[in-house]
Amino acid sequence: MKRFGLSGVILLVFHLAPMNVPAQEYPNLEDTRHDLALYLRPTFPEQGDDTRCVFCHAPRSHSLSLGLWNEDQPDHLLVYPYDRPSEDMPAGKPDGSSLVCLGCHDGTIALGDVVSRTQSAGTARGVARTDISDGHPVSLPYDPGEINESMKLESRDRLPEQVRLDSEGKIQCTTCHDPHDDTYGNFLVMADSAKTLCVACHQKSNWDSSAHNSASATWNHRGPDPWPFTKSRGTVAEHGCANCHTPHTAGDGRYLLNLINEEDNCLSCHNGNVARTDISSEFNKVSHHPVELTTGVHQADEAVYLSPSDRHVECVDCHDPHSARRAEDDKGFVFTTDIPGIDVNGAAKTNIAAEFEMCFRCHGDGPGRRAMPTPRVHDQSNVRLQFDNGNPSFHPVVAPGNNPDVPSLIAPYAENSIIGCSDCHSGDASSKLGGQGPDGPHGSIYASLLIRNYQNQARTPESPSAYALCYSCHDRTSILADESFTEHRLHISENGTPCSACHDPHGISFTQGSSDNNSHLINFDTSIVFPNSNNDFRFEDRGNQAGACFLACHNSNHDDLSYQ
Amino acid sequence: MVTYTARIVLTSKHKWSSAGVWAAICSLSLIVSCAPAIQGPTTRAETGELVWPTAPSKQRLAFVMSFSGAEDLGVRKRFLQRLRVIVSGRRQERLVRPMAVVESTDNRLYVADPGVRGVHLFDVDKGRYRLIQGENGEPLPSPVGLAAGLGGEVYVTDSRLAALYIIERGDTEATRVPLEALLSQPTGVALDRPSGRIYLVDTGSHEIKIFARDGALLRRIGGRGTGPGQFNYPTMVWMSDAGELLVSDSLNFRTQVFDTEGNFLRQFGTAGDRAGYQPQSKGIASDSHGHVYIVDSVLHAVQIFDPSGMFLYRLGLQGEAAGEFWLPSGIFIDERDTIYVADSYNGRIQVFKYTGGDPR
Repeated sequence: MKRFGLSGVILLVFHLAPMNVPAQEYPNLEDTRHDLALYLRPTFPEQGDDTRCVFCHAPRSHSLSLGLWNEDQPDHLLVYPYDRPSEDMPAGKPDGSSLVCLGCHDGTIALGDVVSRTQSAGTARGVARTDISDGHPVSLPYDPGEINESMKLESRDRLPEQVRLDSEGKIQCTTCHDPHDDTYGNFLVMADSAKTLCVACHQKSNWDSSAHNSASATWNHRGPDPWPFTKSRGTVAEHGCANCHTPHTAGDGRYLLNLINEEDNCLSCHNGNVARTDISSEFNKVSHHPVELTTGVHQADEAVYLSPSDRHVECVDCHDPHSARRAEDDKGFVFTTDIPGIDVNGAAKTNIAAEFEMCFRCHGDGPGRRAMPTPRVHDQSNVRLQFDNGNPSFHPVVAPGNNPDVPSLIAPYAENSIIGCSDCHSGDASSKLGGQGPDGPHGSIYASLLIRNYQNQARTPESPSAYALCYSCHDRTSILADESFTEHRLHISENGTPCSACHDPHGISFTQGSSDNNSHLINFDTSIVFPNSNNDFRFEDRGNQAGACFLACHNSNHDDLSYQ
Repeated sequence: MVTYTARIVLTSKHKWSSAGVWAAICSLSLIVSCAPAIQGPTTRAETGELVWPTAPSKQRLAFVMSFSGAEDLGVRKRFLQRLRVIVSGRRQERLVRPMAVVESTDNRLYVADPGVRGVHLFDVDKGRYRLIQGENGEPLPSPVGLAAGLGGEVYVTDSRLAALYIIERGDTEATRVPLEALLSQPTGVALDRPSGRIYLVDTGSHEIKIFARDGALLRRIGGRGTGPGQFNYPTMVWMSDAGELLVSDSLNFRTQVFDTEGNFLRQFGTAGDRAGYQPQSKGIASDSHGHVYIVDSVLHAVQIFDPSGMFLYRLGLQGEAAGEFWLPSGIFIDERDTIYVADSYNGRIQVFKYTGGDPR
């Protein structure tokens, strides 16, 4: 009799817990939000603790009914709901144990925030990214070889034991959540999940040492909440991945970003309220990189060369937020080498080695680039060609310049110096000028995103500020004392000729100019300088600090007008 | 049980024919005219293939059509809306995760869709589509319940904003209904059309709140528990033609029935994993014969019961084909016994028709 009773109890447990796991293995379920029988237990004393399983694990039915309308229902209608083999199932929909979660987490029994977009299709490279537009994908095979490389997935056998795939190797809700255990909050499988759980799968390079994983900055409680989806208001380091990402639907953004517009995810901290430098207001300046112009165009795995219709700029085209470090840790390079670019020869590369390679990506060979603002004898919109070190003359960005005698240079600059694009193109409040603003070409009050004033109109009264950009390296006193070109003072001071009328600041491509006619960055502005009465229009290099001009300017005819 | 079956057999002289299906389609108010311009999903119904139960049992349900967006209904987007879709880059006219569906008395179709944070409005008669959100375009993050009033107005619950909204006839946005009680997590909503009374399921507080048309709180039913008239996460609700309030008491795995005053009448259903049980009942509705249709998201099916709770039929299993479902949720039945099911994770509304005639 006693024996019979015991087997009866075992049978009962078997029925109520169809996953065949005795309830007592889940001591941490008690009193959690998933303990759905909590308030009901007193009314079901005879069922004991097992009552709490039935909410997710539908008990095996004791009797089968086909319904009075039909005595011929096919057998497959009677199978246990989780038993339908997945190979029968269409891909791209939640399946497996995730169905149990989504059954309640749909905004009715439990509030949603889970998956609102059905995942349209499989795992092919490039497809997955469109599928996670407002929630982390579930029911997706964890296959690093098949999923977009930009996700940087850890190999399957190196996942930590807490992060479990289902029996078919799929990511399910249960990969990140254990519905039976709320020890770490939100039923997550790891403590401190924004720091630990995401990186279990996503191995972003240099993340550990990045500022976003280690900065001690906090919010000054001004402006919009930089962390709209987290309860914590601690440091940037404590937020980890949650600085920018949220795993469920809340942001409605792509790449699980908190906010829809890509740049907003950066600027909500980089506005002086968390990060100390205010980059946000740079983008309100008249000349700026137009990060606000596009939304949803940038792709994590986009080609280095973009089609004209995909042309865009976002913060992440220049900065890798997963590896960015503070400027002083990286010798002025806030951007990192973990971004794509184009080298001096026009070859695409996935990791840049120098700043100019990043700039060349859009301002070099890429299609859809804009013409230069100044019309010249040799027009060239490909910046890479302008700076080529085989050119007759060029500013020393990719290599030291080829003029051995530049008397105006201010120390520490010398004839063998190399400069960067951002030495000229940078915010007008840059710390390079002693300002409080950010370095780098975010925005400037000066046209062409220049760091200082650069007048380029004819009849500009000469002053230290009119050509502040040029004078920051080329000593004004030296220039006006005619130490290099003997007629500089006449042109600049007396005739109001801007530097840009004769000099092309980037360089003259070897494909267009020659060392006879285009040394010293000579490439005339054709809106100011014209052919002479003989229809000649050129500069002739006649050796060091010697040359002649054939042109018309200010109604002055230059016909073999030489200097030495 | 036996008596009931016998009655059905007695009245089962009607033979289903393609002409019959055509008449059924024509009677659907959502189709502008009966010109044979209906594409795609109705093809199979035209040929009379998709009917349930399968022979030799008497056929009682027919598949009419399914739709996932305005184009399936022959509705064109208005130019400005189309422009907005292009600018915002969102194809909002597609159903993403439809949770509830209702037809207003002026023949407009409303679909509550948390996936687009709003309510789709398909005005088939006028050939118009509109996405309805809150005041000044405020998104509705979790619209899950719908009910239609007598004057063409439609009520919407948003469980996340914890509010009841009304879309007045012709309005372009949903406005908040002032209520004389705080809501916790409202989901299902039903109306007693003659009196305008609002029956609102507040899942978060395990009760149903009955409001007068002006928002005055008339009565609360329930509280958490397993006894008659108590609830454990009730969700959807329906007022039958007979004036009975049907409530999906979801995590008590049962259906409870009340009168219009909120007095408990009866209950049926229990937990289980097979047809006829109610492992996770959601949307609930009844047809003109009193059959009760209960959507179950664990079973991926619509289950049909007689008014007393006797199990009649399970329509559907997990899948994407016509008559199959993927985590379905809401249901609506019009006075012509056209059945609309919100097939949430298939991103579509499936339309069926009860064709079995009067069982009595």
